[in-house]
Amino acid sequence: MIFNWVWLIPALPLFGFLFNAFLGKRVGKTVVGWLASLVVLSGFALSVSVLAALLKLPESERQRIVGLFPGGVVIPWIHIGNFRVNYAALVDPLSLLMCLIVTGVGGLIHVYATGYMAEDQDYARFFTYFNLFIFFMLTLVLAENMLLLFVGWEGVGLCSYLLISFWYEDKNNALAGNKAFIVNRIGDVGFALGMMLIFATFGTLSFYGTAAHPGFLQMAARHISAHGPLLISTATVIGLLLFIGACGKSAQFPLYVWLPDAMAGPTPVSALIHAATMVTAGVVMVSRCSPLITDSATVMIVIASVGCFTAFLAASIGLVQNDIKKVLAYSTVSQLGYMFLGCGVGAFSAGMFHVTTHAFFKGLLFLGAGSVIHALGGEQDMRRMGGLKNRIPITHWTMAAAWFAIAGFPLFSGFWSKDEILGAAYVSPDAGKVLWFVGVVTALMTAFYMSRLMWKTFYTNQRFNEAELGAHGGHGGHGHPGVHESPPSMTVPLIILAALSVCGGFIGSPFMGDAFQRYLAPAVRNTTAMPEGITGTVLVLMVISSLVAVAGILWAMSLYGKRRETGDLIPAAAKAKMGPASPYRFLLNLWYWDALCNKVAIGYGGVLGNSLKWFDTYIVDGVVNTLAWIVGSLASGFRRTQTGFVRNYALTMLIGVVAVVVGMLWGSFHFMFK
Amino acid sequence: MNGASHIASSLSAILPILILMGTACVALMGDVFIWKRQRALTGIVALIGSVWALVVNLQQILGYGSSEPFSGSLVYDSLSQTTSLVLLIATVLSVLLAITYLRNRGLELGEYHVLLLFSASGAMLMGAANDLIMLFIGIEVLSVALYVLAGIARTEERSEEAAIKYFLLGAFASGFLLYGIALVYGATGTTNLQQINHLFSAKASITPILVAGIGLLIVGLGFKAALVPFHQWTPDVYEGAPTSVTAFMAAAAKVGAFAAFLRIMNAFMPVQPAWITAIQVLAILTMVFGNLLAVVQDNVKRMLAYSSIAHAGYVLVAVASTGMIYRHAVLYLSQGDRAAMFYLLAYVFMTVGAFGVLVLLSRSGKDYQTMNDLKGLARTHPFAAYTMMFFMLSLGGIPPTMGFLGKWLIFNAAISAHQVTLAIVMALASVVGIYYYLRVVWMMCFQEPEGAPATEHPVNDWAARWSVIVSLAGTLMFGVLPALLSPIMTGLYH
Amino acid sequence: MLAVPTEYYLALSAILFTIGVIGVLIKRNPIVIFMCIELMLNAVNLTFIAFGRHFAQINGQMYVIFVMAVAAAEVTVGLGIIVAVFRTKDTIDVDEVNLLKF
Repeated sequence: MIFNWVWLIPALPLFGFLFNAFLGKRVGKTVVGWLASLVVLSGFALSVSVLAALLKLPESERQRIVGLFPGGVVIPWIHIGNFRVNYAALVDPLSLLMCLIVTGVGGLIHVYATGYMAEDQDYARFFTYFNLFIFFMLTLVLAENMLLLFVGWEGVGLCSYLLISFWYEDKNNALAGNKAFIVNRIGDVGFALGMMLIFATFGTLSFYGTAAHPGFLQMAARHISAHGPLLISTATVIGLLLFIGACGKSAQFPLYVWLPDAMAGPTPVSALIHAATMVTAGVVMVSRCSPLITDSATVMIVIASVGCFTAFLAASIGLVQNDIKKVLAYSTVSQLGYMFLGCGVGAFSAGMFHVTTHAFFKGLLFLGAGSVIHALGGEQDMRRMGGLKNRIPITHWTMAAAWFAIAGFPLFSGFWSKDEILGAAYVSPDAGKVLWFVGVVTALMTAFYMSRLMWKTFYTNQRFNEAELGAHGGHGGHGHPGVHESPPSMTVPLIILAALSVCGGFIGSPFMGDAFQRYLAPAVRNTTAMPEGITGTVLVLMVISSLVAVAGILWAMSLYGKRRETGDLIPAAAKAKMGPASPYRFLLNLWYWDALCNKVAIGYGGVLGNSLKWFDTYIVDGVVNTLAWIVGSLASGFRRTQTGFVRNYALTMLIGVVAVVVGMLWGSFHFMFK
Repeated sequence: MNGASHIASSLSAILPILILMGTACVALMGDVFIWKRQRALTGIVALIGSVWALVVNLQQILGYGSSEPFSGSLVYDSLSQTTSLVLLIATVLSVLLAITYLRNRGLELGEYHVLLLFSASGAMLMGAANDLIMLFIGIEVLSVALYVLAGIARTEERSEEAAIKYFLLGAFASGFLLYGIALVYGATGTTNLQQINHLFSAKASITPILVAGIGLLIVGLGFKAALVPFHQWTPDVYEGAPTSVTAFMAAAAKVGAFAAFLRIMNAFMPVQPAWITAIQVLAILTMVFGNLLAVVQDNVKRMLAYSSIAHAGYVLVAVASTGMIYRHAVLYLSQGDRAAMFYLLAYVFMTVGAFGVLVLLSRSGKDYQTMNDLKGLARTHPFAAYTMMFFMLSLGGIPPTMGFLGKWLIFNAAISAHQVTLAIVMALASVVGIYYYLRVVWMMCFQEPEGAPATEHPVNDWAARWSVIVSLAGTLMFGVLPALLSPIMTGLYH
Repeated sequence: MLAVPTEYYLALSAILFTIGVIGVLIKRNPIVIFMCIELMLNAVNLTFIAFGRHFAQINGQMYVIFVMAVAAAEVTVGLGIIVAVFRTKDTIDVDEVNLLKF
């Protein structure tokens, strides 16, 4: 039975992690890199075979709980009283889809990283973290219950912080890691509270449980709790708390601020963790809990609005960024917003579909950006790029594929998934039309800023001095002078991902009969979906989306086509004159959101913090130190009783004996003569 | 059941003990007559024997049987089997620790392993004793061998001092224990624990002789378990004895004593009001003074000795929450009993592990002993330092280690048994405990090595290294996945 | 027939036991201390026999045999340790065995 081998999927990267952690420095880079990639890619092969087996089953049986211990036995992980948590996996369409993405795209990025990181001295450490990340991510997506999911959730967070500050010698990188850590704590508090409330309400943390002991999603679907009917207000609170967790991990407003800074890590990290997999964990979790989330209309509206607003906000900021990775980071935040918009309007399948295609094209964009950075010896600022089209052709063509995909150019993968979300928003009740309109405007901006990125990088005139390459530190000094295409270990993953970015969307297109949506249907609870087939509304919406995408691209093309020399729309002199309220400054300063956060947190928070610090130093520490002093002096005093004379010890014992016996006799006096 | 088959089934029930004793005899004879100069062979024979016993013990546990061999003088149920398991793990780990260490210190004596095995079988007898006289014999087999082991470094004053202190006080305590047995016998007319239990269940009558007898039993066992105020031998003996002996002594004597404690206190369950206060007071004293005195120690072995006293206090909290019952010849353990057994296993892993690290660090003729010796260890001996760190975290009760989980189980058991005071004292005492455990970590990781770096590197001691690795694996693995123990420790999760 | 009541035996053995305990506390020669411990054990033996007679059971006498065997083993080990101490310190005064303390 192939299901009994599911445990290997996370176990393989765990093995890779242990191997590289303990032996990585001894066995040499080749072994480390290939072993790390191989364990992930074998996980992919295994996931494919599990998928094949799952698809053979009838739809109603496509949900299996298998243990994650060798042999697939289900053994409780924690079992105290009626609190029982299994170390087991829930194998269903959703978890397998994520397994395929994590191991497939993740495996490609591993291979890419063997080339990208080749010159790094901490090669083994990098792949140790990378494999650990894959292990935790697989634990997260496979988890059979909320607690195990939380373990994976925190685990991927840990790996994320470790990898953001991978080059920890630079203080800024360490600070970026700190920022990610601290912002995520806010979200995790929400998640943890939500989880506790789930246990208090349903008496279990298992998603689906067994027939005898149904999980909380089953109970939520039937609107019952452990203590009678499920109150809508309870469902609302749980849903909101979980969504706070999702906002932290998936970088939604207002907790998105850590993701752009997280680009401090090596580029494969940005591709794997901060684009393709980890940041989508929030979407996965919300989709997983869809039977519970959909119980509360409030939660759905909140999710949709936050997602929609974040998409718009991040896309607008992306319009003016100059760091190639920053543009992609804001783009990721924006695309994640789309996914939440999809979930919020009740089209969880569409949201997950976008997770899938986004993993292809955004992973590819980051890897391509990495290849550009690699070619330029560590340069990340687009103002000092340009003219790379023919210098690094493979990178250019693969990135172009991703550009069309993310812009939503007709028939490319992003088109199908984005269209699905926008369509669902359009047909959803309440504020659906408004959400749809904002989404379309965002799509226009997306097409524009991606085209801007392509022009600045590839099509405008060269704006860097080839002799000075590598002077910016980071990734320089590897013996290849000048601009050069990346080695095959990096280009092959690019090509594969490019193919997926172009064609990957067809699995969810009406041409294939919405195969993706029907595959995912048993695992999530969609409340809204685009009408099936190509009907009137659908066709009109598709045409609008296509036109918007094409318009965005053409607009950017016309603007930048005229300014090939500088690659700048606004001359530097004009920029300098702009006041802080001008739209450009407003966007460049991230809507002043970070500044506001700093002002509130560091200004007012600082006053509070300083007074608390005084309290801590003099009152809390004072009490603690006094207690410690008392303990210390008591101990020094009693220490003298340990005289070293055996007869003293015997005397102490005798006193103890007399005390025990006399005390016991005295204590049981009234039992004896009652 | 006829005599022959009774004896046969009795013998098969105590097979692990027989294997240990048999191995000890074989090792002794071999050491004296066959491989005279190949002392390491004795250790290997002992290792094979104890692993074999461990395998047989596991088979017995997985067979889920229970019996009362030798006309009910012993009892073989989940409690005694689990006790044996814990003890055999301790034995295997200790034998591994000793093999190279003894050669290093010029103590390569064949009788070392022989005595160790005898001592372990004594402790196993204590866990299986269903009769107070059997308990006494178990204690003596355990102790007499330990007296010799403590003084096995015959030319060292400290080792000899440890031996004579341990011996005199141990024999003194045996006198009280034996007097207690005699008084209980006088009060009840039997020494069989099950009969005693039935007797009281029928009509609970508390007489002064009985109360005094129970008190003396508590004292006698309390000495072995190192409860305050019967603890004063512990730091001296632990410090003076060779480190590998200390590791074994700390583990085996305590496990045996607490297994007996659980058994006896359950036999006297119907008269619980007569003894519960004594146990509570002793537990509080032990936790408070054990932790308090550990704070000011500069010698690591001595610090660990006081910490072992503190841990005895924690287990005693579990004893105060005991309450196992037999139903249809199956032993049902209470939360407290299960917590105690879990904690003892955790204690074995972390204590043997911590002493094991000290063994690893010992150079020829010199032990690592003081806190200053540990300074900067992370730089000079990273393996030792980081494994030690985990043992310290576990001893301090910090997740994700077994020590944390064990403490938490005991805490839970105490709360459900309405021993709230004990639970609170335990929590407070643990806070003090964290100070001195983290102090070790601080010394190792955040201090610069003192003086010139040691030019003499410790001998490459693979056996001891494996012992430490196994201890570490146990501490972490069962700390994260306690459920792995459920098929093994039958009594733990029903 | 005039039988000695069990209480008399118990009182005697308690007195002997106490003498043994006091001896342990006040003597400095480990051999004498050890003799006092033997006195304690034998006082207990007397208790066992007295109770055995009281209950008309053979058990009490049987236990004595056990205790004597164990005590014999203890003696052997104890004397060995005392000799070893004498070899390293040239004295067996327990008050001078005082390296390990505090």
